[in-house]
Amino acid sequence: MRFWVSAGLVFSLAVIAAAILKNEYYFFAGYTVLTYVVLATAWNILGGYAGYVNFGTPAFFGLGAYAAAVLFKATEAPLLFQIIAAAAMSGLLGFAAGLLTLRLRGIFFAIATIALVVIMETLFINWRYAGGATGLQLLRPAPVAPFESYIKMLFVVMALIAVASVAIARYIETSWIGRGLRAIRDSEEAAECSGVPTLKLKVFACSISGALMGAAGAPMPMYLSFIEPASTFNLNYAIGALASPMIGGMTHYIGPVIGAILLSTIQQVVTVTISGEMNVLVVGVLLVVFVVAAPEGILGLFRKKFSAGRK
Amino acid sequence: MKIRKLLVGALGAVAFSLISVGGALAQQPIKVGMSMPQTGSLGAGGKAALLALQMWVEDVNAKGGLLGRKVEFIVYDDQTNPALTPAIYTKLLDIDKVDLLIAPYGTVPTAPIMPLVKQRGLLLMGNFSFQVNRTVRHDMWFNNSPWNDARSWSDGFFSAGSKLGAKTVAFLAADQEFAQNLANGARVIAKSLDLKTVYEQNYPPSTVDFSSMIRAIRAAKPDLVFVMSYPNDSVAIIRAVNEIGVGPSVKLFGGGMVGLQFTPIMQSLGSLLNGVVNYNSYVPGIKYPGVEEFLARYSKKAVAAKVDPLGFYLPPFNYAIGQILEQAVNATKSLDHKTLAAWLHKNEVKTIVGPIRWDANGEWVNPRVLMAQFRGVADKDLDQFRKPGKQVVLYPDAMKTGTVAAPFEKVRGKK
Amino acid sequence: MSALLKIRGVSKHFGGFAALTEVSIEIAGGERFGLIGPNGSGKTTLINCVAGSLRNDAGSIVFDGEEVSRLPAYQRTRRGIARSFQIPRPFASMSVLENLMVPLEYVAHRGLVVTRKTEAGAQDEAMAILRDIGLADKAATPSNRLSQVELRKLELARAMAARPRLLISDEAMAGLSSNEVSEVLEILFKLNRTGITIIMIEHIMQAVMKFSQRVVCLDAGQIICEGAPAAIVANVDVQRAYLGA
Repeated sequence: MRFWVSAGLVFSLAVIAAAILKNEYYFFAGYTVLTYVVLATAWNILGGYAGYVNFGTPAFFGLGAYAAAVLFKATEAPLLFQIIAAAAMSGLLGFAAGLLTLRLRGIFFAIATIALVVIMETLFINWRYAGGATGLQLLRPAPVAPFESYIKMLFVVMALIAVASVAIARYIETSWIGRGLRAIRDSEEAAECSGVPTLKLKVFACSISGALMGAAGAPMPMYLSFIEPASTFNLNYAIGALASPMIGGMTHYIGPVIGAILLSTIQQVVTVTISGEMNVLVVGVLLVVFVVAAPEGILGLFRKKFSAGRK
Repeated sequence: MKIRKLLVGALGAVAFSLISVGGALAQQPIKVGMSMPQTGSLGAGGKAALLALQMWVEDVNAKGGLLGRKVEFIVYDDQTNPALTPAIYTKLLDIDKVDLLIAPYGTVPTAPIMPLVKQRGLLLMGNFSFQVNRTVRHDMWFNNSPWNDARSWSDGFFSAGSKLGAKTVAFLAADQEFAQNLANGARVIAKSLDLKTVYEQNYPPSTVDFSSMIRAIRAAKPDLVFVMSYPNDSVAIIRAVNEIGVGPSVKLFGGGMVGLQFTPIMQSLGSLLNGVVNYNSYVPGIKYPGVEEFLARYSKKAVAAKVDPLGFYLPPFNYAIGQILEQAVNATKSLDHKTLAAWLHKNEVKTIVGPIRWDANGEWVNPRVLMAQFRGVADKDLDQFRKPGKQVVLYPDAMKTGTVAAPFEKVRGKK
Repeated sequence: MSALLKIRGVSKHFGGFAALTEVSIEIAGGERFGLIGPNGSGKTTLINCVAGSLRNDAGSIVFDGEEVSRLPAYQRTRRGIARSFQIPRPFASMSVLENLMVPLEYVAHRGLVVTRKTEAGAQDEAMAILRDIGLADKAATPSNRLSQVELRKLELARAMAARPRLLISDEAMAGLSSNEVSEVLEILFKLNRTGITIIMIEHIMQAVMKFSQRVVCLDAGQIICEGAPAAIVANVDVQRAYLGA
């Protein structure tokens, strides 16, 4: 109950901000931060709970973005349908990645997910209809009432996706599914012998994680009015999605949220204050600091408080 | 106690002097803002372009600024990542409150900000992008690049070829959209000139070995070989041609090879470049007023800043952006974007890259993509490229610095 | 009494190495069955084939009248085959109680929607098992802080939480002191009294001979001897297999 009250509160804040704040920069920056919240939350379902490290975030994110862009180009479908299509496509890709776990574990699974990014990027570089290597410019429609600007609408939409993602992650974490995934992470064989259908659960986690990443990518073409393979399948998404849970903490659904807000806010600030090179350095330094000093992330530092509040 | 008193006193003095200075500077500076790729794939070019723009800011401030106000230049690094530019440009507009906007170098980082400037009705100075305004059709966009459509790239090559009496042509193109765009433009021109296509090959972007294609071209005995390639491919193709040769039939070789304009590539290929006829934006010997003086100043600063020491390709055109803004603001005595755009649509602007007039779409009415032939280039010599004659301009006619040397194999052999 | 588990002609190869060759064993419901053999004789391979961690290449495994040799391990667990691991594999990130909640939620208390009530039911059952096995006071302890004997007990407790009809205990006593061995042995006797069939794999001869009603000895993937404990101890082949004489 407390979760739903705070989730509703956060979402209402986003709506109120869209209604009263005039300065659009905060929405552009906020949209990016929220995108990372979704990506980190989605990543954690597979990587944090089940222990399967996925470097392929850009593949799912990018497939979602392209699914939305192509659907829009072909049919001018509204944003809602673009998001649904993106989630479905990336969910399917997640399903396929889940089947990979049948044979590939640990580092081998991680490497296979990098290959997914390369495959996806090559695919879209060579698909002329989707703009090929040069990219595709899209004319975005007028914002839907009551929004007066498109970016505010995208911001609220992304806030909704973020709240939904966290709610899904929370449900998985606190239910029998989450217990099963943690059992898989601790010992896959022991989990299977305890009656956990490990393959089904892994495929499920991969699909959900992929679908959420796809949903995070879906509004991107409308955000940019443009889509292009190199930046869409940028490994920065993989790094952000992986680093945020590591910094925030992987054992509780709020960990990736804290990590993503902290990390991408710092990155936004660094981009417009220091330089692009510093941006990458910031992530690296933060990761090293947390791996060495706080292996369980920010949450680990506040562990007692959180585990007490959970039951 | 004493130290504290001293500190308080010092702080007070500083604060007072700040206030008094602030009073004197009632005139706020004019802010010009942009993002420039300084890292990522366009980073090297972006840094050189940025240096040129900073030179313009210094120059204009030395002359007393614009409308009597100092010019302040605000620039962020977009890492050649289009996902970052919308946030950067809204920051420029909504937080930094810039008065004038310049687009980032390149088509990709520019594309996402086109709807933003259109929606807000803002003037945007383009920066070497290609047809980025084609779908958005924003009437307050003015590009600085010397091309307009795909045809403007290959016109010069074919006009030089037809003067040599060419009858047949071979096409070699990267299988990517930009190269294909150029190829399509080139095919239309070839058809209108009654050239027969004897060889046509699209190669995948990851190709590294071109020897079989060069042999096939040699076997087809074309008069012209039109190549549309990206930097890595361009280098590999030039090396393959120098190992294998394209045969005595070929009069002209080159056209749309991206990368041969870049200083490090010119330097490393050296004499292997001789004979190649390729597109360019500026080469020494062209008498635009002020450009030589600019490049002389630029190369001194470039060495210190460790960026492209020659700076032919991008920097003069970036300096020109500043000149364009300067002339429009001074002529209209205004910073209003609509007024400025209306003036730019009506008037010709004089820059160090020649006079510029724009069409309704914000591209140049008279494109000036040069076709230049490498001649007498030696190995391992950077400074030779500063001299006229190493790249002989064949087209456009008004800027010719020499006549074409043919056949290709004969010119190639000469050092 | 019909057999609960029928292993017929089971073979398993790893590349060119024959780990099991045509092994056939029948185990009756409620039986205490001992499986012995020197290291590398195929004991663990055989129980991996029964529990589902490995698939046998040939032969059949029938549990309670149903062919199970092609079912994934979790399906076999749900049908009543549970095992402990030779090297304990606790769910290290969970408390002892949570370790038991995994099989409870995935086998006995399975359901798409978990309410507070079903969860409380599962917790009660977990606590009951922990009391039986003597781990009740460690219920809230993280499982990575247990001692060796406690880990062995946790292995058995977690296997019990799947409500098995057949429990395979894979060297649950290796490396324990003699007091601890009798403690674990006592637990296994107690479980057997509730009607659970038990296969004990063990190197500690005293324990396995005391516990088992019937013993099979494997060597090089084949059964070399089967019979009552006393007969096995006296068997020449068994002595040769163990002593290499």
